[in-house]
Parts: sequence; C-alpha cells; structure tokens
Amino acid sequence: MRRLGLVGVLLMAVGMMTGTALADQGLAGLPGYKALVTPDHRLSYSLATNEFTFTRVTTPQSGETEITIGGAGPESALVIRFGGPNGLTIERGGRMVVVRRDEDSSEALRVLTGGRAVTAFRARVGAYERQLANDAVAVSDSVSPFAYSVLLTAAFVGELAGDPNSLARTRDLIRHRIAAKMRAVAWQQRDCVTEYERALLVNDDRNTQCMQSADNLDSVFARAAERLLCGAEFLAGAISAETQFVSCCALKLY
Amino acid sequence: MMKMFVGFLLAGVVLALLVPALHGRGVALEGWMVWGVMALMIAVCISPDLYQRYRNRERKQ
Repeated sequence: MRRLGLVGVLLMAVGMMTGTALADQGLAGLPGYKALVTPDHRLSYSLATNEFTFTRVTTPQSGETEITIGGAGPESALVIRFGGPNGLTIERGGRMVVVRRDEDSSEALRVLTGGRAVTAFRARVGAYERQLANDAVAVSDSVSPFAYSVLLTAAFVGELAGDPNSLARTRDLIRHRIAAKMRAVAWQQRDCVTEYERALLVNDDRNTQCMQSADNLDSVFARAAERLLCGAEFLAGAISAETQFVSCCALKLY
Repeated sequence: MMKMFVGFLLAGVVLALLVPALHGRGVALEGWMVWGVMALMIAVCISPDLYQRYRNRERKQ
C-alpha cells in the first residue's frame, strides 16, 4: 500500500513537471511566444527572436493596449497604443502620429511601420499563419486563442503598414478554423438518450408492422406463432437499444 | 448477479413499452428517466432476495 502511494506521488510529480515544461515551450509552430499575467494584473504577450522583440501589454479593465516591436540594432522601437484616452497612436524615435478620422495619415504611418524589426516580425508571424492555413495538423489546436491574438496583432501592423487586406485575410483564416473545429465537434457529439429514444421508436414501428402482417395471415395457428415471433423480435430490439445506450454513456465518460 | 441482469432486461422492456407512449404525448426521454427505470427494475428484482437474506441473518441471531 505504501509502495503504491509512493509510486502515485512520483507519477503526479512527473506529470506536473511535464505540464510546466509544455507551458514553457509556447505555441507549437511559434516557439518563444509567451503569454503571462504581470504583477499589476496586466496581460503581457511577448515573442523574441534574434531579429526582433515583440511585446503586447493589455490592461483588462480599461482595454488599453501597448504594442512594442524593437530590434537588436540601433533602430528605434515602434510603439503602438490604442484603447486609451488618446485613441490610436503610433510612435517611433520621438515621432508620433495620432490617427484621427478626418485626417489621412497613411503615408506617415507607412514610414513609421517600416524597418527591419517590424518586417522580421511580420515575416515570422506570416510564416506561422501560412503554417496554420496549410498544415493545421502539425500545429497544436489547444493553444489557438493565443495564436489568434498574435496573428491579429501582426495583421493590424500590416494594415498600418499599408496592406489594406491584412486584417480581413487573417479574420477569414480564424473564422474558417473555428468553423471547422465546431463542425468536427458537432460530428463527434453523440446524444445517447436521443439515440436510445430513436432506437426504441424504430423498434416500436417495426413491431407494429410485424403484428399487422401477422394478423393478416389466414391460419389462426400461424398467426399466433407469428405474433410470438414479433414479440421476441421486439424484446431483442429493446434490449439491444438499451445495451447500446449503456455502452454509449460509458464511452462518453472517457 | 443474475437477478441484476434480469432487472436490466426488464428495464429494457418497460422502457420499450413506455417510450413510444410518452413520445406520442410529446414527452421527450431524459437520461434520468432511463437510469431511474433501470435502477428501479434492478431494485425490484434483487430486493426480495436481499430482504430474505436480512431476515435469515436476524433469525440466526
């Protein structure tokens, strides 16, 4: 008994260690991408490679978000802020553009959102997006909500950089993936009770037809025998449906 | 064990008779109804045996 307990504790410890390791690996297909809650309860997403460092910090209460994309070289970081009192602002190297409805600032934004780090970030996330679109099996589905947020962020940066279809394209991809997942879930879902009820109704219909054909027989003896056989068939059908219901419920437990 | 199985079979028959009648009245089958009938029929089948055993034990004491 003690040995069993010790083995159990060891297995639990191994399981917990494996879980932490998996969480540290980040998204499948996008290594280095991390999502964490900061000590002041803000959500921080980051992705770092040799070419760029991406950080997105969001305050859940106000919805204020700051996106920072910086490079390793002397190039100054691009800072995008939105959801705050100033609306949408883009800042880089002391130059700031506030996006307003009545002003066309697309040219200024294009200049600010260029550079090596931003291009490397867009290329990296773009590769991941293509991977999601073309080879979904190789990319884990369980962490997709985080994946979608990084895809949308890159698409937003692309939109600022002058690609007018960037966000729409990513939105389409996400919508297709969610729809495909929901279709798969609906296909897998089995309602054991409804199936059981349906099976019993079919069994009842079959019995009614069987009884009618038995009643149409000329011989009284043959009629009685046929009705008995109908009863046996009804019984077998009912028990088969019940067994299927129990096995369906048991399968759903796993 | 045998009586439990008989109870399970009996539940199947009871439900097979009950469900089409309920369906005709617009009552949809629920999971608890199926499990309830199964438990009831198994209880009906094994309870005389259990009661007998209880009585015999009391008599011996």
